[in-house]
Amino acid sequence: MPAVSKVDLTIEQGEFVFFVGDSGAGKTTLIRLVFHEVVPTSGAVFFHGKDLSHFNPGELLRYRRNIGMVFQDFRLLSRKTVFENTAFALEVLGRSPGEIKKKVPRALEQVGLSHKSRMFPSQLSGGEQQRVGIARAIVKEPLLILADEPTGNVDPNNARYIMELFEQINKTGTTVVAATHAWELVKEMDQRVVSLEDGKVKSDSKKRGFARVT
Amino acid sequence: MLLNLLRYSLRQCFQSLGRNFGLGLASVGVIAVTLMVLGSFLLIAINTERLVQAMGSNVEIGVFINREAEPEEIEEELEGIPGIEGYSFVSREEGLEMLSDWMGEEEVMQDMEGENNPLPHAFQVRAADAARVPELAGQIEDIAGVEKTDYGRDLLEGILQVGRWANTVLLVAGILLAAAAVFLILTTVRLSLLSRSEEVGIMKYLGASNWFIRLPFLLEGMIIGWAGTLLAVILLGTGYHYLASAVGEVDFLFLVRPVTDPAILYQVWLGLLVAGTLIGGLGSLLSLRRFLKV
Repeated sequence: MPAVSKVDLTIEQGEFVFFVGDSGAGKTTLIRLVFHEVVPTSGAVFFHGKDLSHFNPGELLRYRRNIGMVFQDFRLLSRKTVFENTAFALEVLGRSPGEIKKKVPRALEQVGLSHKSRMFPSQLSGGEQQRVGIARAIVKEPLLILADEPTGNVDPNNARYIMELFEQINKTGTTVVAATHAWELVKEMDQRVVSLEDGKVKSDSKKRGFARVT
Repeated sequence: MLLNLLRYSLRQCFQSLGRNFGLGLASVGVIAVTLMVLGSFLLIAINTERLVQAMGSNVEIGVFINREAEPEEIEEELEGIPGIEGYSFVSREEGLEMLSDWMGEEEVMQDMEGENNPLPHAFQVRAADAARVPELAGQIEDIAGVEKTDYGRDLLEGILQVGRWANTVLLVAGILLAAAAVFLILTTVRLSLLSRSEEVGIMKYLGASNWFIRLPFLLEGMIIGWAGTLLAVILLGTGYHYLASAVGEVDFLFLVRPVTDPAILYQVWLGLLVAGTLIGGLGSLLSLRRFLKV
């Protein structure tokens, strides 16, 4: 049985979209499909009208460089400081030390962690670790943020703060797609909600077009 | 961008070497031993080749000519055959003298002087390459006026056979040892890769290119290969120097003069260093192959 099926949705540039649903509803699979980490057995995912499965390795790399990923388990490197973890996103793209020194403090300021830039992940709370994860995602100024259960390992206060951060990021023009089962938080925010059940779209608060998942 | 990539890769590479220092050191040691064995085989092969050459160059082709033939004409023909390093003419009289000296029976030989001399004129021909002696002998025999040629066929064949065997052993041993070295580096880099698998996983999500992920590991393997080979070259070079000096002083081993020509030895050391570094790189690439599927 496929993890998602008969999903037909379009996301516009600059939109903020929540994928909500219980565990196993297909939220994470949709995120992985958009990242092209999994390939659909039938149907296609389009980016600016182009089928991701037709991308050559170079195009796929460039496409992924436009995406900032945020994970439930943060995926920070324990041996690197907050600054180094954030800088890592620029280092892997081969950016210059000058650019790194300029952009990393800005991203850390945006997530409110400037004062903890020399700390290691183990010295931070779950919420703070996730904010480092967000700083790492936004430091390269991506077109799209994909967040998979970003508040899953975070206490309620920090979860609210993280959602507010995403709203701020979205206001700068970055498209944000977040998979979550934090219904309460989603209800407080006035954003598009795609509700999933058993791999199918149960409801969609509105329908428009940027990335297309069918 | 390229400079940033190189700077980052070198930093990561040395960090990783520092972090897995014990393992790295062990690999360097094992590579050193492996390359020392490989280098020893190479030196043995080079010296065997030299020995074969030395012994081969002592093999002369005796060319006996018809009584009616003119030695000058034969000489002209010999001049035209490539591969002949030199020759000397041995007249019938000189031949008889040599035979007489060799047999030590001067009285018997006195009866064979002048018109009674049964020996033909002859040439002693030296080949530039011992391996070509049989072929040259054949060519010389085809010259009109040449009765027959003679050289130590069995001895020469034996010497050449030893040379061929040495080369085969070197080739097989070289391939096996190089494969062992590649496997070693592969294991070391894989362990280093496993200890950084989390980092590599995140790098993929952050949009790192495969080469960006590969380069630090590739450099790590190459540095281990290079360092191990350098150690091997130092140890082997020192050992060989002392051995060559010792063998050179033994009189009865006059034919076994080890190769001490710096031009040849530098080529060997440089060749080993390049091979060791490439082996390191190859081991790294093989261990990375399955790791980079996103």
